[in-house]
Amino acid sequence: MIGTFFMLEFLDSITGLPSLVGAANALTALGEWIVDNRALLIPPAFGFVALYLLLPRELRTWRPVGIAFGVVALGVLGFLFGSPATSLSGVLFYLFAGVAVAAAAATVTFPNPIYSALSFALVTLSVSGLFVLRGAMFLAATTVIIYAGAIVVTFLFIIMLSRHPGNAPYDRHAREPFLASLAAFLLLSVLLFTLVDWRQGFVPLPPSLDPYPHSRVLKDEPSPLRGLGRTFFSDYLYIVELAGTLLLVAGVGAVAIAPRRVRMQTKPPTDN
Amino acid sequence: MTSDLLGYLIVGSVLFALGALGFLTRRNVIVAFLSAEMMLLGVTLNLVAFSYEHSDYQGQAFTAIVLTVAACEAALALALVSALYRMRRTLDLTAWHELGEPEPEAPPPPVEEEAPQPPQHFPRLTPAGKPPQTAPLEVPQPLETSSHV
Repeated sequence: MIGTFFMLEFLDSITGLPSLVGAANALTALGEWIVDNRALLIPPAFGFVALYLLLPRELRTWRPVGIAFGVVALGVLGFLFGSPATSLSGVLFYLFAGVAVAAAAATVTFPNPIYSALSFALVTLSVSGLFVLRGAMFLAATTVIIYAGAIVVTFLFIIMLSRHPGNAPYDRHAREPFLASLAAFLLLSVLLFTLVDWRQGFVPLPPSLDPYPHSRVLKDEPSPLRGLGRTFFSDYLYIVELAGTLLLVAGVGAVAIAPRRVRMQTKPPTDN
Repeated sequence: MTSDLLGYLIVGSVLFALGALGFLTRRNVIVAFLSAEMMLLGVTLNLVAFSYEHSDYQGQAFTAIVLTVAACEAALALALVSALYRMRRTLDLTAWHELGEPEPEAPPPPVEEEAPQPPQHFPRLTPAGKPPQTAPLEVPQPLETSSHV
């Protein structure tokens, strides 16, 4: 290590390039940082390898290896950040979270688009379960209805109407699997580091400055649905009306954009 | 930050990262759109977790609006995908890589006029069932005989 440093200094004095030593310093600092934070970098790194192996390509024999890498990544993540499940809600959280993440990976990596859509429905159901665990029953029901009930069914019809026998060539190969997996790895690492480094507590807003005074959960809240209704019709009334207008505009736009059915022209009789 | 909240935020982050990966990578329009919806699911999970943490309904209200926007987006995406499929008969994203119009072709070089050729008669194929068109026969005129009856 020190010998390399002196050799680089000697080379710099000869060639007059000051950037070699700086680059070597940066690389050693990066290596030390990686070694220091290796615990937090293991889940994204294993996830990167897992996704790179699982993305649809011609090499089908690496899929079990990719699945193994993914399971190890999730296990390390749960070990680092999770607390042992002591109550029913803890067990349910791990169940829903595991199914959500596994189904999300399946949505992204299945070559067959119908399996992708069905996995997405499974993600939606798991996330709805997580919503229920956090007291958002109305949102859980709405999410299931809109996502799994409307969006997935509509797109299953679209996929059915435009099927290739077997898998289409654009489904069998993913675009740039290495670069995309690297981008996802970097994104997840940044998010995890942000979450871990966040050590300050929340600063609660004083009630006099609260712009939405009716949105707090009351002490004797009869049910979360009543509280949400109170919020919608007092603090968020304008936004709810805007959402309704947005739905109207989107409906009109969808009808305008969608192709009309072509009328069949009657052929003129041929002269024989 | 409690361990429960951290767990929910991490699941939201993983869903978002996987959705981003799928949106960037997959060539099927439908799967790319489903990945975009998965990103929205990750964000709504974050919102609901924070709403529970702060004992506030604002996160849930925002999530309901996000669901509304997602439904509108799905309707418009469906219309667009139908229109695009009509044109190219494929669900491949790479078919629409070049959105510009094709370059205008250079005008062909002017062709030198050739010497006018004598009109040529080419044999013509006959439609089925019709007698063939042949050159007009030279019917020998009957000789004028004196003994015509």
